[in-house]
This record gives sequence, C-alpha cells and structure tokens, in this order.
Amino acid sequence: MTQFLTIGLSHYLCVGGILFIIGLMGICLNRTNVILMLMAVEIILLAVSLNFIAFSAFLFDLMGQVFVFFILTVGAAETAIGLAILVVFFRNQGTVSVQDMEKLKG
Amino acid sequence: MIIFAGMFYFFAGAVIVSALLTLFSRVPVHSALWLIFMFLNGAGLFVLLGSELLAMIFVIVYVGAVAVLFLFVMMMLKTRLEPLKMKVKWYKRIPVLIGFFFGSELLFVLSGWQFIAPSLKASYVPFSLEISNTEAIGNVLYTQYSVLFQIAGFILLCSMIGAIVLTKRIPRERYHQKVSDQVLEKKKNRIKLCQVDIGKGV
Repeated sequence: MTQFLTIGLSHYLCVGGILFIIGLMGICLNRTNVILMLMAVEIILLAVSLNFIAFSAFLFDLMGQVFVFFILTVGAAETAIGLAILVVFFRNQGTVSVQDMEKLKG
Repeated sequence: MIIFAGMFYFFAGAVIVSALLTLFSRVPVHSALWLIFMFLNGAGLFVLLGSELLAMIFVIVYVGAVAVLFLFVMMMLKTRLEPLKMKVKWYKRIPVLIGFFFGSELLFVLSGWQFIAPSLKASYVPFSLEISNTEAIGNVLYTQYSVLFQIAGFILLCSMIGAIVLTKRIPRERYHQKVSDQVLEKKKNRIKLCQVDIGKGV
C-alpha cells in the first residue's frame, strides 16, 4: 500500500509512457483527419515534457526544465507551421483526409 | 502524503482519460476542448513536481495559443472532420505491437526498479532550495543558455514568417488603370496611319 501512496519517479514515468502510447496510437490509427494527428503529436510532446520534468525533479537538476522550455518553443512553432500547411492543402485539394494525400508524392 | 498521492492520481487519471477522449471523441471541436483539459491537468502534474514556471507557461502557450489555433483552423476549414475509426488492417497492428513492448517495459518499471537520487553536487545544473523555481530557471536560462534562448526566439520568428508566407493568398494580376503609363504612351505605338488603295484593303 505504501508503494501506491508514496509517489515516486516511476509513477510519473508510467503516466508519461501511457500518454506516449496514446499519442502514438492516435498517429498510427488515424487515416481520416490530419488535425487529430497534430493533436496526437501534442500529446506525445506533453508525455516527453512530463518525463523530462520528472527526472529533473528527482535528480535535483534544472537542465530538464530548461530543455522542456525549448521543447515547448519548437512544439509551438511546429503546430503553427503544420496548421498553415494544412490550410494551404485544404485550399488546393478541398479535403484534410490523410488518405487523399497521395498527390503529395514526388 | 495521502493528499499528495490523491492529487497525483486525480491529475494522472484526468490526463490519460482526456488524452483518450481527444482522439476518440466524435466532434472535433470537443477533441480540441479535451486537449485543453489534458494540458491543464498536465500543468497540475508539473506543479506537483515543483516546476511552477513551466506549468504556467504550458497553460499560457497551449491553452491560450495552440488550442485556440486548432479551433480557429477547424472553424476555417469548413469541412466535415471525421473522428478516428478503429478498422483494423494489417498495418494497423504495428501500434499494438509497439504498445505491447512499451507496456511490458512499464511493467518492468513498476515491478522492482528502484531509483536512487544522487547527491546535489553530482548534478549538472543543481537546484538551490532557497530561491523559487522561476528564479532558478531564469538564472540558468539567461546566463548559461542565453544562446539557445536567442535561437528559440529565432525559431519562433521563422515559424511566424513561414506561416504567414504559406497562407498568404497572392492576388491575381488584375487590369488596373495605370495613369503614368497612359501619359507616357507614344503616338506611334498606338496609331498606325496607312494609305489604303481603293478596292484592295490593307
């Protein structure tokens, strides 16, 4: 019982791992909607940030938190660019389905 | 201790449930709202870990900017966004396999793995417990990682420029009246005088 009441590093790592799997599942299973795919990428980023901050807190090392700061920057930039590409794609093709993206080849 | 554990389990469960609902909810606007809820609970977990600054930044950036951007794009696209479907084909079994491996690793972590925190002196950028989290991160970020900080700002600038350039509609060439061209036009370019013979034409 004390194993469940004292929250250690492994609890946070489990939450991070479960979130990572959920995000991966969203990317792999998704064939219809690119916006949901971008949301799954955000879930993965949250999982990674959670792992970094958990290690930072339990190792008494600030490096992880600084790194999460930069992950956040890159994630925000990635979302902005991805949604802009999505808007351009919708303007050209009239759809955001992943299955209809074969015209992007070559 | 019990309150701390209860809060951890509350936030963790809410994060996981809302992540699942983000992917599986029928209405895409609902999934964006579940994404916001997921980030709020993730910020709660960050607060439990003692990094208040990053929790607040997550709330500001993700709830305030990114989720609103998602909602804005959904509103703009005016298409019927279908939810995620669970039709299993052969290539869709790959994530199940990956999930199996990850799950077994998690079981390893939960069973016998012990984490021993090293001493304060061994860490690269050590905490000091006298100052707050925000002050500690600021001390490191503006001195040791100032170049990285500048590069992060540059990345954000590039993404802003890229998004604007990508989505800007370049207007088609229209037939405007150009007064200067009209004034500068020579007579010989426009009018041709011909001596036409009778009955022959030009």
